[in-house]
Amino acid sequence: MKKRVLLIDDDPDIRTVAALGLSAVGGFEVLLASGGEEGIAMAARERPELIILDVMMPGVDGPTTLARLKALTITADIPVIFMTARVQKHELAAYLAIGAIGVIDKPFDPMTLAAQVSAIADRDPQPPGLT
Amino acid sequence: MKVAPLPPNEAARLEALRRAVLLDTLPEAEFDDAARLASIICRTPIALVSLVDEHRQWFKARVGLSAHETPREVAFCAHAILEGGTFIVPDAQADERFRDNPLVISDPRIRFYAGAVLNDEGGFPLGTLCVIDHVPRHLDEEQREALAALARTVTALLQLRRARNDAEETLDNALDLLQTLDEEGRFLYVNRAWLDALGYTRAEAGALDLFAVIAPDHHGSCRAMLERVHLGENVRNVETVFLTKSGARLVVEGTARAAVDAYGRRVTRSVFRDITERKAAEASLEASELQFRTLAQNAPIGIYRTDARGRCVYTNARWRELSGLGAEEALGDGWLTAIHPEDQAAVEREWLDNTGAGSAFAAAPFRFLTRGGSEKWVRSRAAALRDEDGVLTGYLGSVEDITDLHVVTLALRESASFQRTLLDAASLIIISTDVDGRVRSINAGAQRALGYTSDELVGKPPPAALHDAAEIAARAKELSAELGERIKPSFDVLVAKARRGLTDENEWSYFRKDGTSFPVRLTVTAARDDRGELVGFLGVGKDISEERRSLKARNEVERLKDEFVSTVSHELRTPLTSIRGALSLLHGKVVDLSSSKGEELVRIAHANAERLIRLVNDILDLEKIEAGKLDLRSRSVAALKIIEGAIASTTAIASAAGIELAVIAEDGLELEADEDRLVQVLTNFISNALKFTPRGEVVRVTCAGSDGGVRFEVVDRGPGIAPEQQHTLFERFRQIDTSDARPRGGTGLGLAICKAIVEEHGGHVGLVSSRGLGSTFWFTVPLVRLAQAKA
Repeated sequence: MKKRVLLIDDDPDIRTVAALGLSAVGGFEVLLASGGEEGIAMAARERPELIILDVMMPGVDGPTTLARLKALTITADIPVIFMTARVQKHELAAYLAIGAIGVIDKPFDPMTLAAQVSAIADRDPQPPGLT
Repeated sequence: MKVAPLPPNEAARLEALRRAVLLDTLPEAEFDDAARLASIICRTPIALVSLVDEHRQWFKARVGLSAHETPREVAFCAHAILEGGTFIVPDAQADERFRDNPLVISDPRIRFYAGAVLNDEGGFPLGTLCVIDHVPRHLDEEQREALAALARTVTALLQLRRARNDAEETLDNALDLLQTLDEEGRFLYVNRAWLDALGYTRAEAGALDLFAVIAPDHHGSCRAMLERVHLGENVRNVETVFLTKSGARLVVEGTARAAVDAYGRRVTRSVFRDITERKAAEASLEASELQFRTLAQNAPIGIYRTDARGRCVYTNARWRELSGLGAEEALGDGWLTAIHPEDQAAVEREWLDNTGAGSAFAAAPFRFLTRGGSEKWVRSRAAALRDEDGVLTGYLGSVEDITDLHVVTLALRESASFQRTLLDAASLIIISTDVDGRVRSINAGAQRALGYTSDELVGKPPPAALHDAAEIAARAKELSAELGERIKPSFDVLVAKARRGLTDENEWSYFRKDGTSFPVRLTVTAARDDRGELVGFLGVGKDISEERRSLKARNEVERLKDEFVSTVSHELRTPLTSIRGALSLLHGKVVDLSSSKGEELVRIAHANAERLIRLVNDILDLEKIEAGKLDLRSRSVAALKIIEGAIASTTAIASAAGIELAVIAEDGLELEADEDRLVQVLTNFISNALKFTPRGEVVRVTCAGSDGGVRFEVVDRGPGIAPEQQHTLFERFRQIDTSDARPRGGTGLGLAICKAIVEEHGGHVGLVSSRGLGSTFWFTVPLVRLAQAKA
């Protein structure tokens, strides 16, 4: 059974590239959302096994989205990986502190993105069912 | 024998006899002569001047008789004085009154007696001038007359003598010392005062000569004086020294002159006054004057004296040394010339004011300037001198060299003033206290910072109101732990470390008088005296509000820089992510290049590469402008031309968005500007307006002359911008967050670049906006000139 991953990013080009990498290369089933609001709704509806979340988005940004996902019972346990172009060390620490299980830097390579995501998910014992 | 009865007024007669001062006196030539004359004239062997007193007859003069006196009962004279006139007994043996008288029946065997009574000027019979013979006989008429005349002469002699006694008594009562010397220098007469002063009796004095009573050291001058007298000079101002009987020196002054006395003798009469005490006083005064003079001459301070008008009459050596003037030069008003020209007027005025008022003089320090050019700072004081009646007689003054003191005082004053100025000028809060925390001084900085005056704090315990009680309590706890002993939450907290010789620097909140507070970094040090004893504390505080603010600002700058790096990195990485991703997928042959997916990936790579280029250009542009390296290619350009340029590059987008662009431009406005750059700004404004304006609406672009410049405006029909976002809009990467699904496309640097370009032209940018009513973005550029309006 294919792993269902929700990708939330406001940049359509990045969504396209990342989705191709995750599905065509990694074999994941990919759900896409263009912003925080849309992503939260989709997560609640589709209950993906993993969420990849862009940090800087207009409107509801990444950290806010994460906080709201954690606040909802049905989405609270879904592991979230941040994906960001902001890669300063203190920022990474801050993202992990608010509940992300890992951070993927932009620019990422879509050829290895899925492997990268799996490695983070496997390293983290928390999310059961993600292998 | 018949004893003569007493005369009727015997008491008065005896008193008169006593006053005659004849009884028991030495023999005198005048009386002796009278007796001898009587004896010769009357041819009798015996003649007497006999005086009858209470119990006897006493002989003042006697011829032919050795006895000095006989009892009154047997005296013939006692009978004679009862009779008056001349009493004659021709033959005593034949007279029963005298027949058995012892003087008749035995020696001197009187047979004949004739006595003429001696009456004084009051008529009292004192005695007789009598002649006596051993044979009975008579006196002839001539003899009787001669005897009576001689008796009258003796009476006159008695009167004369009486007068002389009175005179002598008068002289004796004189206070001056009177003496009469004979030619050999023997004393003929001295008065009572003389005797009392020298301690001799009159009899002793009679045996002395002058040189026996003159002090040996004055013999020479005395001899010379006598010689001058003998030459007929009246010598005045004789001063000599007597030696008293007991050997004491008696200083006298007086006169001496030659005279001839009643007896025709050449005598020297002198009147002296005892001036021993006056001399002693003079000597003592002289000694004290000498002492003063010696003191004045050798005193280490200058001394001067003036007359009542303030004119100098004396200066001592030290005064002259200080002033550089000679003794003569200083006299009168000469002393003024020694005073430094700059001080002269003030000193003279002060001197005249004081001496004019007769009051004491104490001048402010002034300078002596000697001819040699040496300058001395001196202080002068003078006291008024007055005689016994309080009349001003002059001034006695001193001049003290205070050059060293003055220099030190000036230096100290300067240093104190410097310190005070330094303390007051310092923006630091400087408070000194005693050991118990009582405030000793606070500087101007502290007064300014705290809002208290010096008077409100000095001498009082530090007001608790200055500090935050909670801070003090917290610090007390910390200190107690650090120092290992309990520190009370009081003044102790501030000085606990300083008291232990440690440095204490801490930050505190200080409360001003008006209740507001500010942060202070306070360093407290212990003040110790020469022996190391603690005498107080010095607190130096710095208001660190500004420091904290700038720290905050620095942190903010740091944060912004971080954010900028972060943002730039994000902005660059975002298109890179798409480019790399697309190329990676194509390269990895995940997608076939010729498929529609492949074509899309190529478009993505291309579009993002373009975006990346724009971004890099914008960033470089901005950096260039901000570094002042933007070269404006300014030339004269019509404002309308700029609008046309901007419209040309946005018309296509406007059409695609279904929005009308309306231009309202004032004619004839000409600018000195870089046309391309201003077109870039206006294009940016229009592009933004188009982005946020709904389809079917109008975006208006205007330009108009305004206050010495041209104002361009772009008015959109967008949603408007919240006031809190407006002021950051022209900063870099400050795009308005919006949930609008329309792709942004911008780099987030456009408005920042616009602002930089406009400001480079000397203009301003801004916006007017409110929610729901759209926004107006504007910029101004200074007008160079109005183009000549075409007719």
